[in-house]
Amino acid sequence: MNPGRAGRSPREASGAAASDAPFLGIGVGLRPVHYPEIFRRLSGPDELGIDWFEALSENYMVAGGRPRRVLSDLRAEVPLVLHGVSLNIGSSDPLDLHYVEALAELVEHTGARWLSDHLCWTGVEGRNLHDLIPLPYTERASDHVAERVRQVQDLLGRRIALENVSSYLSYCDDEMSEWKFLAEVAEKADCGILLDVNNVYVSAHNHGFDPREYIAAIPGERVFQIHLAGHSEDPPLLIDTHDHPVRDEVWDLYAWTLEQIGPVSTLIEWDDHIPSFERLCAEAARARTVFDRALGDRAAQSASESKRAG
Amino acid sequence: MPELRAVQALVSELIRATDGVERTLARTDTPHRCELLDLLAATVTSDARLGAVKRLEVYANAYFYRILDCLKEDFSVLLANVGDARFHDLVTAYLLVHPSNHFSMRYVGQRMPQFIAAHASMAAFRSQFPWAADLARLEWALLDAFDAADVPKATRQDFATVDPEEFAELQFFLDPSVQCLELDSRAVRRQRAHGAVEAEDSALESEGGGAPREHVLVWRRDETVRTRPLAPAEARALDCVARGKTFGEICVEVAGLVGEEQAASQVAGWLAAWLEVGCLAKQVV
Ligand SMILES: [Fe+2]
Repeated sequence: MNPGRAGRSPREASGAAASDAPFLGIGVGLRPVHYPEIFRRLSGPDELGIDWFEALSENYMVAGGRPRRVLSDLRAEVPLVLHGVSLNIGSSDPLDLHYVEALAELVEHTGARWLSDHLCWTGVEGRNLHDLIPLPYTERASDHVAERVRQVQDLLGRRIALENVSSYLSYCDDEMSEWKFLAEVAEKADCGILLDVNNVYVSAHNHGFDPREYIAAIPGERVFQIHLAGHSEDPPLLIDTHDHPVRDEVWDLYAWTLEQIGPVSTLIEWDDHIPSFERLCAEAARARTVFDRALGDRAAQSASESKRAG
Repeated sequence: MPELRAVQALVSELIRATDGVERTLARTDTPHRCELLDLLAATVTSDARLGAVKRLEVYANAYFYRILDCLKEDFSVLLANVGDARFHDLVTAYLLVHPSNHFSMRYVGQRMPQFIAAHASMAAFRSQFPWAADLARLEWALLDAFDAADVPKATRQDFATVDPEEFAELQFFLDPSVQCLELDSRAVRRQRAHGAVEAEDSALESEGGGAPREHVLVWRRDETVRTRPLAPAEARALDCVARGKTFGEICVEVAGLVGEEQAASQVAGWLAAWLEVGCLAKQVV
């Protein structure tokens, strides 16, 4: 396997359910403003500073030009993962097969190690809200979503991971908790989970539940990836703005999460007031420190197990 | 609880309401207001900290401002020229008529030039900013050139072996990024003043003298979007290429503009120039 650019040695995750998702280490979201610095580091003696990139699928679903070229250049250097916002998996509209087709093409183009989208809906009646709207947490909704995830996975020929969203509203007829809904969909659809620890924290605050109760209920073997990001306050709500460093409370929750489910590829998201690539790498380095401290010997142990297996 | 479809239709309608959720529901002339209120109360939870309306408002604000920010980037020169407040109103009116129906926000502004140019609600805006629609067209063309498909460019070599006898029958192919626009000169000048168009010399009439128009060539080379002014005859020739005309046919079309004797050498000169800067693609087999 391709060794991480930051000098860590990645391992394949064990366990059948998450076998689509190799352990990649600590990554960051790929943002165009960082392209010059990324390619400077890749072409010179400096370390890249992170192990992998997550690219936002829709930004690269274009015919050509720089966006497409950047991905084909990067795939030769560093593992890539795709993260989408427009699969609209929870919508009552028919699945957008053009979108799924474009996604399949992009997976091919990038050699993406896995791909993810969100457990939510983003539009209905052909109108796109460009936002992640929560679903009612009902048995019928979970059947509906799971059926569509299966369809997408059949079309793509691989598992996808669904991410828990930050939310600001809930529905009167919710029949179960969000964590039960997420676990149930993942089970029925046999898909992966992208566990956004910041989103758990934000939603826990906004809806008044215990974030640890949420995470404890997540089937760890299905977790492909973790997201970390910064949020902001708009009392009485917390808003998932991705415009701050990760908050201390979220670092604590991340450490606790790793203790529960073991080593998982982790990614820092930063989408607004985007800092320098160097600052972003510092945030990734902090994740690495928390990761090593939380897992201690387990990280090294699983790494050597994977070497024997490979 | 209503079916998923009804829930989503309600939430989508309220999130996209022009005035925001709270004001829309407070206004007595909102169609089906009572039904909306009842449906909302039966659908979205209110708790001691925050009511359903305020919770939905978070999404309504995010919806509008996310798209506004995207369009501010896409039409940055238009924004700079009409100001924040008018641009805000423009986007409000635009979304009412053209809500996003594409999975990518990249295309949310696709119908902006046409909306400014032709929509009835834009009449006052048009008379205040008669060049705005063309400025939007130019900015949109730059975006389209930025991520147009990559195809192999034609080279001098491709034409080196052509028998001079056959030249009249030769067809040419434009790179997918190439666009030739005829625009209000005031729009072009505003774009140029903003630094996005190469400051090449071209005769620009004063603003008082009606609405002179000019041609602009937009294309991408080495991942950089470029523009340059085009004389009317060159623009005509480029349009001929786009329509699949042969060298001979192009010469006939421009003869009226450059003179019959000059036509062949003039067209050959333009072709060489387009080839040089990467405007011509290899023939698609
Ligand atoms: Fe996330």
